[in-house]
Amino acid sequence: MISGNQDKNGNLVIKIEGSLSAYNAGDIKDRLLTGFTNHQGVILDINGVTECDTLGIQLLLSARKTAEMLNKTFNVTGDSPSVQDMLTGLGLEAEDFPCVLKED
Amino acid sequence: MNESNRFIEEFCHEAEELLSGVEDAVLDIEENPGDQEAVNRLFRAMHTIKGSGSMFGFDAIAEFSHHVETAMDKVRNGTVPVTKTLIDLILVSRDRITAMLAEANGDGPPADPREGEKIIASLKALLSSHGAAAPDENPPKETPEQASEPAKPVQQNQAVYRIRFSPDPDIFFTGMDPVILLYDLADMGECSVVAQTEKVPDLENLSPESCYLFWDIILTTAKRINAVKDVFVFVEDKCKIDIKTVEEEVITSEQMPGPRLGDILVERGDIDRKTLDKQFGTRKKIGERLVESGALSKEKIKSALNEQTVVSKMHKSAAASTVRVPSDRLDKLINLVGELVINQARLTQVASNREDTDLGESVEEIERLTGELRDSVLNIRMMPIGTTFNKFRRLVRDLSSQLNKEIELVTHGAETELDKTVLERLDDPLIHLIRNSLDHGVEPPGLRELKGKPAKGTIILSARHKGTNVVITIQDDGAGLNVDTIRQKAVEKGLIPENAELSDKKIFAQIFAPGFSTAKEVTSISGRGVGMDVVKRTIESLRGRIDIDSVPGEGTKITLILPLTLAIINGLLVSIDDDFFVLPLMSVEECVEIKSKEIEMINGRNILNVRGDMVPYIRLRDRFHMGNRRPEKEHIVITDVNDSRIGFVVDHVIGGHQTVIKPLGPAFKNIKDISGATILGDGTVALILDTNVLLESA
Amino acid sequence: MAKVIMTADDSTSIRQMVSFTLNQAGYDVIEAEDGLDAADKLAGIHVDMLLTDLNMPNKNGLELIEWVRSMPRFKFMPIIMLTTEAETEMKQKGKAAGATGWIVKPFKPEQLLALVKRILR
Repeated sequence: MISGNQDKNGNLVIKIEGSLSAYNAGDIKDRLLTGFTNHQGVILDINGVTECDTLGIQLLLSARKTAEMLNKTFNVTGDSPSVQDMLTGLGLEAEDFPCVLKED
Repeated sequence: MNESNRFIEEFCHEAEELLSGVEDAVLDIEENPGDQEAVNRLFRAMHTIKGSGSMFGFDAIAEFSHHVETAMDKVRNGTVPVTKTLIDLILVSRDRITAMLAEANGDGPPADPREGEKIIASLKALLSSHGAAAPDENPPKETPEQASEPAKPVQQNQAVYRIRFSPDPDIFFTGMDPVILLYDLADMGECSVVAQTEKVPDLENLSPESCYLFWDIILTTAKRINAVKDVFVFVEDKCKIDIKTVEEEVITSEQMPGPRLGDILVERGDIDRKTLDKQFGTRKKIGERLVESGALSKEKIKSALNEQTVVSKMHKSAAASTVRVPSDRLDKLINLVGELVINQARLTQVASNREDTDLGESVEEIERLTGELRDSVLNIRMMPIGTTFNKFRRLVRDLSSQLNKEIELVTHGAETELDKTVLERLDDPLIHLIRNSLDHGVEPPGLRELKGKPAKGTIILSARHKGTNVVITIQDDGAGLNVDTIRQKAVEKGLIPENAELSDKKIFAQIFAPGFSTAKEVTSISGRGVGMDVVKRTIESLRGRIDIDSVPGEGTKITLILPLTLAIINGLLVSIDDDFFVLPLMSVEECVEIKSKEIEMINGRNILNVRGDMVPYIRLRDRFHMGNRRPEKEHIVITDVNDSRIGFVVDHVIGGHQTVIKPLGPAFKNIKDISGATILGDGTVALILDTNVLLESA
Repeated sequence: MAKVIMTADDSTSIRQMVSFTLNQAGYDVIEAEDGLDAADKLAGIHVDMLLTDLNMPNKNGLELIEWVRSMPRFKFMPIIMLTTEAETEMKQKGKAAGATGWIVKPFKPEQLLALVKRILR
């Protein structure tokens, strides 16, 4: 399940519950793109993610790249063991993800 | 054994049915030679008898039916016509298989092997007379290529493989996630995986179901290169897989120096020698320099660095003999190296301010050597956790018989290394956690059977590296924690308000509160409700954290995350005015920028609204009486301490920092909220904050 | 939650052996006796993995794999073929139709289990 609303800094907060994987990568991608187009940036809340695969992580990497290009905020918050495990398994570090909001 | 008998019986039964079907099919074909459906039925019957026969050990039957199957295949595709001879042959074959089955079951006379050979010869003659190739002398020896035999404990030399794995972009459409193959490699030995993200496009250009990632893997294993290749057998035709042996262990007494990073990069074909040579003579490390100049991605360098580490380590382990050294001498050495690292950083800073190439080059060399020295010295204190794990085997055995439970302890990652001082202090907390699982977690065998679980419970103890941390988990397949009981107890003890709305995780965390115990009666094993809080305190004193997760009916999992060593931590460097502070990165959740006017609005309560969540905060500037020259924009670092979120307001967030911890002198022993200090490259001192103590004083 | 595996095979003995082995290891198993039966059963349930024989009446293994892959909710599901011999042509066709991998009969229960655990972890 994917849901979203805007926070006080003008970022779109997208909450993902359940799966962050091949099956919904397309849907989430569309949400992320809308977020970057219409908002200051995107905060992705992964607290409820219970299933994650390589394509799910790849989507986060692509979103990070997009944010850098557009000079927008992209922040992943929350704690999800399945996302953590997948990051480790794929040879990525949790630190590879922006935890610090960009200064501009 | 009973089960396999059951399958054999089932097979015989099935084969009999198939054979009677064969008779019907043959008669149908005889009536109507064009009955393709009947021919198919015949083929499938033989095919199944062959396949299942071989599965359940009827090799003779499998081999015989292989010949009949081949003949039927030829009939099916029209190479061999249906003739009376063929039909007769099939019928005698059918009888022959029946006889073989009866013999195998012990209720028939031994079938004459010559009769079988005669039938096979006739079948072959029939096929060749129609120009069809005769069936093979023997059915192809079926070698299950992908069968992962349990690892044989053959003592074999270790080798280091360098693997670049570029999956087919469409790999997901074959139901394969490349991470599965990475896990397989990790199971084979010591494995470092670096994901290469350079090909991942931005969202606009991303086809979300294609895989753009590829990987560099350095694998140290006793397995042969073919075993490594076998991992990729399902994907080898479409994916690009490049496996190279980098190093095979040679036993020499000579200590060879490890390879240089530049050489590794050239050998991998990531960069050519010319580009590389251009980078020399500059004062930066070659890796950093290459990334900055855009010649190579950060990840490529990271993976080459991994290879360098692994190969150097192998050189070192080649001449393995041991010397016993008192640990205080080691401590002194580590202290000295810490000093050296700090001074070297200053030296680098000073040298970079002078335009002196000679000085620059030698400083660069010293920097490299110091780094290597630091890593080697820290390595001396590293010990595998296996010895600690082994102690628990006995503990589990004794305690489970005392409790009349059947419990098996499974351990993973015994070779995971961590600092001896950390390891020594882990004994007690681990014993306590395992006892808890034994006593409260795993149910008695009778109850387990009622719930449909195997009577024997399992506790899995595992350790693995994750970045610069070690993750230890204790997992049982017991009853799990009861949220309601814990909540009720916590309310009774006044730990949480009665109507508090808390997540399950928050409620589970209550068991770490002092004086909390959920056991209905006190047993001699899990004690009297002291313990879990002590466990948590011990882990925190090691700069680690503890997490708990539980599913009712399925079990409980406790995760300890610990730094590899106490001498160095991963910190987040922040500043207030011109002073620097380090927060342990492990507890940092996020950093948010705040404008001073936003703070005024909610001032007086020291609570900040972060996306709807009320987060209390401490302004470090006030806490340390640092005056009131607040900048327009401040930053708040939100941390998770003892499962509650708390923010620390600072002027600037500088970034991650590998912090060499220097203890404060005895004069400062009363300062509790600072746990140490570190010296930055330019000689500035940064204080390391103890978030636990700061939280208590909030 | 236990993972659900479907085994499609026209041989009862193999189906039972597969079911028993996987049940013992804690998986839920749904048996199908041929491709058509498998397709019928898949229409109404969630399945995490499919183990299929290639030579089956009604709908054979290849047709089954093609059909499964055409269903959006099984687009990325692992499919393992139970091949009777190292028959490269059949295996290639299966791979082309979207199968994940294969196991060659005869196999031991442990080998099957090791493969399933690898793919489903």
